[in-house]
Amino acid sequence: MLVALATSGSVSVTAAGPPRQSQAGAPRNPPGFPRTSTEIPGLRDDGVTPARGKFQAAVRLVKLDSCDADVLARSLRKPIDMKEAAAQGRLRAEMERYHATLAAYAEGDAAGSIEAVLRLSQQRLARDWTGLTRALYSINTRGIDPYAPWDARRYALAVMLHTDAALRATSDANGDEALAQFQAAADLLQLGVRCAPDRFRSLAPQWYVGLSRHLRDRTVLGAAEALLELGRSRLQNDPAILGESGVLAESIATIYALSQMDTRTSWASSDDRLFLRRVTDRRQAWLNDAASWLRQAADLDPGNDEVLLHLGRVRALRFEDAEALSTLGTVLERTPSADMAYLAAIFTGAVHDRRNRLEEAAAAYRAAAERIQSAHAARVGLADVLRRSGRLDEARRLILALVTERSEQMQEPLWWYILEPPGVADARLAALRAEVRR
Amino acid sequence: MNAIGAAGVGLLVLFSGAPQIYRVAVDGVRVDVLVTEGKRAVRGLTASDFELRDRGVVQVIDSVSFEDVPLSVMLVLDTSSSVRGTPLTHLKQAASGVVDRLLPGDRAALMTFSGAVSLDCDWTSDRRRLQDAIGRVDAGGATALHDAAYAALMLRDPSPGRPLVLVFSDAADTASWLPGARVIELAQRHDAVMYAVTLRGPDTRPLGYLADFTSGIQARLENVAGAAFKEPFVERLAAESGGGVMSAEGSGELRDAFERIVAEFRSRYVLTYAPRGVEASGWHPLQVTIKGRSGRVTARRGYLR
Repeated sequence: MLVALATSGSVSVTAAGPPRQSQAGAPRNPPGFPRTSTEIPGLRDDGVTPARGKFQAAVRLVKLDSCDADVLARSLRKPIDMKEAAAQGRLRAEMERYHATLAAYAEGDAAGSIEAVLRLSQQRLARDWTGLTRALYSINTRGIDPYAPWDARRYALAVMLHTDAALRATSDANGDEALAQFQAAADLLQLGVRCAPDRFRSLAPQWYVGLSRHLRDRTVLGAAEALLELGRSRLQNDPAILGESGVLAESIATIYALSQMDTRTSWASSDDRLFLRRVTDRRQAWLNDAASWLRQAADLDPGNDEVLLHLGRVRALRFEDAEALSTLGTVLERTPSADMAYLAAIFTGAVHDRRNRLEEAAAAYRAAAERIQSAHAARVGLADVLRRSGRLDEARRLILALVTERSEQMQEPLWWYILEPPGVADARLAALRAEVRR
Repeated sequence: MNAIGAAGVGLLVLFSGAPQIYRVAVDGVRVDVLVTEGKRAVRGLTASDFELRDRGVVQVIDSVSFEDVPLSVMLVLDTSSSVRGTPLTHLKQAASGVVDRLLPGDRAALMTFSGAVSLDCDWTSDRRRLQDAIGRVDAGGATALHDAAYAALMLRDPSPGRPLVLVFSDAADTASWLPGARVIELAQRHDAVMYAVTLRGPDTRPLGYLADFTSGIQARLENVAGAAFKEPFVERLAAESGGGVMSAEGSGELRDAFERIVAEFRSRYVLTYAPRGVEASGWHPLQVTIKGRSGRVTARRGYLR
């Protein structure tokens, strides 16, 4: 269900609810909770804020005006000597190799083309140039680039090729290379947005969101946030990127609240209070960011129930109870999705529950349990409210029914509220790859 | 008083072994007590050896029983994905070892949890049923430790045995709806003694259950004082109920840890008394000491009515 955030473009990867089958073949279980951050050296978080600013917003690997008519009209300077002629010849050869790599990628030879582009990146040339940076800088240069001006498909293919190269470098824990490849992909994407706006209007946010989800799934949170920061600066007021930014911030404030603090355990022994304040301040900052981005996304895309659901939850986590109840109430009123209505109802129940408003909490939990009868959280919440109301037998019967239910029948949308079902993030990227090869 | 604790804190029903004799004391309180000297349990104590204070007021202990009350053992096992493989094999062996050590009249139940909680075998004295259920246990998923401990307390054995909840978990909670504090509050109303077995591992979670950022219901943190926010959930649960925590170096030690817990639990005394001179409702801090000899007393911190 969460992919609704990822724009309504042509890439369609949907999971209408939690899958009934987990990776382990145990249907009642959500995926294992990631405990440790798989940080990439070079993209390592500093423990306070993820790697903000690690990507450059100012386009630097490609010439953003290279597809403008006046630039395209310029012809290549005639070489003044043999040396310059030879240099131009080498550049043409590099560009041809780059296009051959793109062609191989378009044909489906992902492994070979990724290897080739990584080799190109590692080919060191004079004055800090690599084969890759020089090729990218020469895109659309007449006399050097045989495909100038590029068509939309070529931009899209190049974006995904460098994305895949970045992901390969990520899995190889090669942070510098991952950063360079992500930057190349992002810069090419921006070139595509400028040169082929119709094609990239939907593709660009899909790329940012899809890649963020992929990195988030692997708990490379700093890189995901840095990428979204780039997206927010380059595609301003894009509701999908703002929404995804809000959800990522919410996840850093909740399920990943301590994941980046583990390396700082020495703080805990030296000054407990300072450590706690550090954690809670950081969490509050992320919740503030989440609320801000989600509110912007909701303003830009007022029909998006999922953004509103996250906004309601984040408001509840910030103890803005009245606003939270109002926002969640809107979702409850209008959403056609049973999963989303369930989540809005249990989050409403949680607000009442912690304020000891037992009747209201029970009503909300009951409403949730009616939406999805086999869910876990609504029944646990309801049972505890009933127990505190003195209705112990009823509470016990609820718990007994919950724990004796056949596991295959259990559904719990909460499991997929932040984490996605296994494979969805990969499938989303696979769909993007298929899309760019079309 | 919350009816959860009716069998132990409230309407008291004592089971005294075969032939079955029941003694009933209305509004009685039953306190499970371990007395140790060094690492050894002290045996042979009588009511006159104990002093029990309820809200600071010395109480008359009506009876002390030792080893003659059957056990009701709820095994609560973490079967999240981190337990997959060899740890799961060891865990099943450990659970099986507990079942092997049940005596006639003892009962047990098996609960497992990952993202969800499952009662794999309801209360029974049938060892084969229990062993079969243990054999079917599989691992995978997140860790709803709070919800599982809550369910274990809610589903107390209806028979009047001495309730022991033995929880195994290798990590902190990641997937519960209920916050740990809510489970602690329930444990304060309950007569079960909770023991926990954990695995020492790379999980270096620096904060305890009060710094709760993942459960469904989250409270403000400002009232958390001192080092309390570093207290792990299972340690607090065990301390509140008068149990203990054993930390295994590796999963290969689980069987030994489980069996030691059952042996230790059998070595405990059950003191019963009818509270006198104290208000009935609210929190009742308990102090149990032994008179005229050395020894360490482990008992629940109090009870909530």
